[in-house]
Amino acid sequence: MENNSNNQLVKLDNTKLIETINNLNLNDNEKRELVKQLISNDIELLKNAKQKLADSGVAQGDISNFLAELAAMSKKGMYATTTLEAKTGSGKITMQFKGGDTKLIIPVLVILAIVIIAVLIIMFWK
Amino acid sequence: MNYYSRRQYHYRKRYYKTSSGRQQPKGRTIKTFDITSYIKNEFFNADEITFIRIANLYRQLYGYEAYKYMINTFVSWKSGFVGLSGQTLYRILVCVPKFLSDEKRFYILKCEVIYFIEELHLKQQRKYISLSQLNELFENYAKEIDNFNKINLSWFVDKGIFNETEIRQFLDVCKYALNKKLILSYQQVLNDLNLIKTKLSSFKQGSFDANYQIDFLFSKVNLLNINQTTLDFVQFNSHEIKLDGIFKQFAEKYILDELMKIEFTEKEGEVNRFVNSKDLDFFISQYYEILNKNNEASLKSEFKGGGGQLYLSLEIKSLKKIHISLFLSVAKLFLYAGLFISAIILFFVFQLYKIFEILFFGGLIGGGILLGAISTEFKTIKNLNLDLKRYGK
Repeated sequence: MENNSNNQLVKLDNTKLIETINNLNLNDNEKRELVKQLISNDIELLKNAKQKLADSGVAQGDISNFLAELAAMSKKGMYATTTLEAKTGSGKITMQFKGGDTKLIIPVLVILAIVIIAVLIIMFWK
Repeated sequence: MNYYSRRQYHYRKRYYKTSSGRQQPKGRTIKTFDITSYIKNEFFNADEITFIRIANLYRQLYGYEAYKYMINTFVSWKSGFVGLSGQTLYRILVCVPKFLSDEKRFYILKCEVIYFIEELHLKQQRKYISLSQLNELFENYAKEIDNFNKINLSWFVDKGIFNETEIRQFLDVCKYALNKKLILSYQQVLNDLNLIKTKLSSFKQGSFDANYQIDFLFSKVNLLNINQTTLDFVQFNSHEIKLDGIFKQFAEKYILDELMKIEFTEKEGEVNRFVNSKDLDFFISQYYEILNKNNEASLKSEFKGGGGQLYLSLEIKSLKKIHISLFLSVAKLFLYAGLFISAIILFFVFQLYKIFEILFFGGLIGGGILLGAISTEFKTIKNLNLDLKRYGK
């Protein structure tokens, strides 16, 4: 079932439909209109495909830049909770980064524990 | 139930009236064709010969008095000075279509059949299923299409507006088109799911949340177990049609229009799937980049594929941070336990149990807070262990 078209755009082939149009009992004008519509659909599809790929390219650039900035901030120990939303060709991506500095909590806890233990020792030291 | 009241019933059931009195759809409903207005318009604008034919049939079916009333009131009805009663409207609906051109009669038949087909389509929508039920969902729909027959359109046969052959022929055309759409949707959905499965193959169960909404059926599929599920492909039978009869030419044109739409949907789906694949690759590459930097983040995406929309959520947890959090939670747990034990010791050393109020409130509030904190830390440790299993390499 795996289709090999994952990595390349589908070739637009209207041969079958044009053959069907020619076989129908339609006048030349109607046939011409239908073929024109087919071609116009293909042009629209290609236009949309290009636009979607361009949108994805822009979104990828935005996200890469954002991550680079975030990495730089993180090195300085400055990063906080932040959200990024980017529109891609096929939809959207939302990234939420969780900030906070855990380095601060450890010394606070250690000091607190030492103080409590010291108080207990003083109280019960006889 | 006659045609007029039957359609009224549907209107009452599915629609609400706007201030302008026009019927408007509420939510996702069927696009209806106003057959009453169409036939009324044809009746009031009929040429002389057609009008005489309609009037003669009207007289034949409903008698001279009704005919005379129709002739006398026609101009007032047309100008809107006098409104049409339900009974008169029903009579016009019966008489007029028989004298319309084949093209117009086909147009009415087409709109009516499509109305019932759309109704069938609506019944198959808005379902939430697991991946293992996917084939069943499509197979059930295919069976419904097979079973749909002219019984649903019996009013037209009973009143002699269309004969059975005409209805059967066009119904076959509609069923053919609907079946084609269903098969296309199924193929597109399976292509999308295979692509998603390949991309998510490196993720452990529980480390992501994913749903897929099928465009054609407007139904959602839960993809949590996609890596553990084998996607079987079911072969659907293609309907065969043979066009003949007086509506052949129009039916051919209709089927060609439908085939062109299907062709467009197929190509558009391929484009969407191609872009979706690229976006998904980028999304997952960003996931690993953030993960390797030991950052924590929630990533959400909505990607349109060939036959539906993928909703994917990934949670990034830094292993280093999970280990630190685990250490902190264990430290906190010992701290709270130490405090709790110390409080009990102090209680007895200073003989606080002699003071009832302190015993009661101190024990209740202080003890409660400490026990609550201990319980929270236990839960945190349990969750962190679970995260280690989920996100650990």
